[in-house]
Amino acid sequence: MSFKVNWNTLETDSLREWTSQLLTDALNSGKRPPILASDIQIKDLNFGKVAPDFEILDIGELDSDRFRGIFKINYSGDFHLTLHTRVQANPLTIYQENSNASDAAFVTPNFLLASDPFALPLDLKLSDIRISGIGIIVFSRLKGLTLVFRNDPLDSIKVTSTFDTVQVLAKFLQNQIETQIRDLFRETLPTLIHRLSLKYLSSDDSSFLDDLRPQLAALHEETVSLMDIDPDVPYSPENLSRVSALFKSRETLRLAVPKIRHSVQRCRLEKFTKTQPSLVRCLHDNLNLDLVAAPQHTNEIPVELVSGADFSKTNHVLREISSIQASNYYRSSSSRPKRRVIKLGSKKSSVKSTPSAETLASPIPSEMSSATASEHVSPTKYYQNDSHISLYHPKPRQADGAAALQLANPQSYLYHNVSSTPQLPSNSSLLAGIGLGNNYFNFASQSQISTSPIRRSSQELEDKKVTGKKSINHLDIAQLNSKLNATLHTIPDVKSHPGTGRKLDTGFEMPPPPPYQV
Amino acid sequence: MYTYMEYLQKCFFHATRWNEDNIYSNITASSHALLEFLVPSGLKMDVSSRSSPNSASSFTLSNHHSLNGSLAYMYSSTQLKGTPGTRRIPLQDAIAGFKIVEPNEMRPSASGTIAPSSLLYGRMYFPGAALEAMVIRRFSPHTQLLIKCIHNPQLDKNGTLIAYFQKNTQRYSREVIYSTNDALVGFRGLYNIGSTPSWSPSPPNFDRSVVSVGAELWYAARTMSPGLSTGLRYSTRSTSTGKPLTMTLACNPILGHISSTYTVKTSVASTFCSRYDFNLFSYASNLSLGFELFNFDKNAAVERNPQLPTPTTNPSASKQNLINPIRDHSYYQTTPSTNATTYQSSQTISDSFQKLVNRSEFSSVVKVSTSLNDRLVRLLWEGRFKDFLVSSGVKVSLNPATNAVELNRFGISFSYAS
Repeated sequence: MSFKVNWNTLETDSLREWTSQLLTDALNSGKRPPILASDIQIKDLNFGKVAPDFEILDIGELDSDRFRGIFKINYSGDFHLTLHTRVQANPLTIYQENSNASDAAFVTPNFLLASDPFALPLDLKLSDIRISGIGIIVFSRLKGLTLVFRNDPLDSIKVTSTFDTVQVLAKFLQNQIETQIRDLFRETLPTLIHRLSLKYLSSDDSSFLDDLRPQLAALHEETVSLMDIDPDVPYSPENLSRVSALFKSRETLRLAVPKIRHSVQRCRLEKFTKTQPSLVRCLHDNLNLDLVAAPQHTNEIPVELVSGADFSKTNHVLREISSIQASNYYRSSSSRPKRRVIKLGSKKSSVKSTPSAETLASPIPSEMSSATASEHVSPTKYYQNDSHISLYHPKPRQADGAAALQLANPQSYLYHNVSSTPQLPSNSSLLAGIGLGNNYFNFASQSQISTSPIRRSSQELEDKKVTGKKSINHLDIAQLNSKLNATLHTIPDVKSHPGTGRKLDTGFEMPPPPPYQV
Repeated sequence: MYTYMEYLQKCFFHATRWNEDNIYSNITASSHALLEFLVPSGLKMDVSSRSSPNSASSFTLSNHHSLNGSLAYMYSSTQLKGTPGTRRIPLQDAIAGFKIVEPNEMRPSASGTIAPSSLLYGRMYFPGAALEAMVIRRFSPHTQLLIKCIHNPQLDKNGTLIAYFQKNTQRYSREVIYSTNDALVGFRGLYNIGSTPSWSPSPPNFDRSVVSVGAELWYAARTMSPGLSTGLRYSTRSTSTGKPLTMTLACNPILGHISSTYTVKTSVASTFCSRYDFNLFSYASNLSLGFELFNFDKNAAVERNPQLPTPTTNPSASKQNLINPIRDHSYYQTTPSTNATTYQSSQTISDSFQKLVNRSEFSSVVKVSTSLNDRLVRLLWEGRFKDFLVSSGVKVSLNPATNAVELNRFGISFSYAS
């Protein structure tokens, strides 16, 4: 489960002032060391435009007054902070102040002008902060909120100062500040958060909640009706009854789950995104041929393979196709395959005709071919042929009303070609629906996510293709969209079949509603 | 306000004819006393007593942070005479203020050489186990060794020791300093420019001005921190009114800091001081102003409104009126030479002014100082209340960030000595 942080709301003056005040107080708390000639001021504070990436990895306990969870935070944004202070450049002044501070004024010699203060202004800019860490939040109504980082969350930070021309000083400052910020994450921040939470909890509970409620109510004032979402498709009693049937089936663990058009159930998403064996894929694996443009779900041989001028290459490819088909055939039956033989002496045009012929021998395993022709159905009468079809991740209505209106666009609906995506025979609602046995919160299968640079680099070597470790509940929208586009290329073929009027009860595909609403 | 122990230490220096003004660190003593006087913090009570001419003890109680106090003992091998308690002590002596620099203040006494003398001082603080001790040992009339040390478990190595080896002659003074804190080594020197002061009482130099140049050099070996400063002091008296004034110019060549002060005793009861600081590297500047104002004691039997003799008055007549043998230095009573009447006149004026200052009985003093760049004001009232000497002050500053007035320091201190 990941969070979308509405980072832009942080860019308000009041919040910036409040944060600056808090930081100023925190930085100037305690006795000022003699090397600082003045208080530390916040000159510039900018939260940046990039939000940190929160991800909940595990929820251990969830109750009205208890919460325990593990989360992951990643940040590589453009937050920057500029501090201004004055540093003491006269070492004898520091000597004298140190001496006086330790009640040793009696033995401090009476310096004349030698210990005169000489303050140098110093601007310190912290930028390019990279944070990636795993933290544990434990909340209890009695004990407050505890936040602990399991690792060192600070990856890197860039420190620029007025003294950058002096190498020694720049390095010293960099080291010092990195150490300080590591300390901050390890000790100061947990302490601060704990104290702050205790303050809220210990203060009159009802008054705090009373303050909170109107604010929340104000947020929820915007009620969203179905009409707002999709004005083109008016909701009907039929749809409502369908939804209620779905709801009941979830409640009662009924095996038959009513299908809702234009929606994917989350549990079936895997079937949609899973890579299916196909000829093109086999070719890609064996010969390293890149055939992205070709449809991956049909077993036709792409024309561009054989239309190339290089005959030896074409021959090689055809040989490979033949071997793939042969091996596939022998897997299921022991008899020799019938094969059309083409004389090499014949004209080249006859070679070009081979692809259509070769499709007769299907390379798809038996499971794949179980998608029978009888299942060929038309997408529905609602289908509109449009090239700009993309799938969006559903957004909670209340969170972001404006963005949700995108769903009103019927183009965003996803149509499913049944013939291209075979269904596994076991589509029990018990396994599929939200209920027992689902793996919504089963995070244990996921390997431990590490942010240590060493381990991560080895992981990167291991799975280069995986752009980043995501939790099991992460929806890869990009992949879905690419799938969708690929699917839509085949739709004209499907359309040629006369529609049976049967709706897409084999499970497709409108953006699924948020889990908590179903 | 000096503590009683500091006062006794000054008395010791005076009795053994050690010229403190001839030390480099004291060349800005007058302006320092007027501009950067210490404001007491919290409530402090100091009770001291002279148990014998050679020894004294003191007990201090204060509520700084928490209730704490100290016990101090002092022993001097030389008898300290003429050190009255707080009831009778002249306010001018009890309070650090303008100091008139005399070129040949410390002439050898009539008896000739001064016997080697020493002073021992120790103070114990409670609660806690902090101790401080000081030893002053005079080897000869011109050399002395001063050792100060503290013992405090909170300090690293549990204590610090600092030793000064000082040589102080008429012409120059120099000292070598070593402190165990960061292995600090220092050297200070002061040289008096001008004609060699003569011991003979015959013709006294009429203006009695002193020009001194000096320098200090520091190096803390452990932290590798150097320090350097040079200074110049010109102290003279106005020939027309006899009012003393002191100008100093100090410079720190490493940091490019220049500080000039001008201190003048504008009347018998008031002193004004200004200081201008400037930094050659950062162009930072600062102007500090300060003054002190004495109030005459209304109960005193002496004349209320001392009149300064004008140059036109008869010198001999005015002299007859003004000489008061109580607080006069012996050399003032040298028979006046009859070289020139004008010299006579000017010397008489300056002498008589000084006598007026010394003779006046004051009941209290108000000190105010301000610094424009630091934006702070110090206010101090010191005076006699019954048999006590009371010092009360406040330090107010303007916060540079919020422009709010802040009370930095506030306190009152009582002192009693018998």
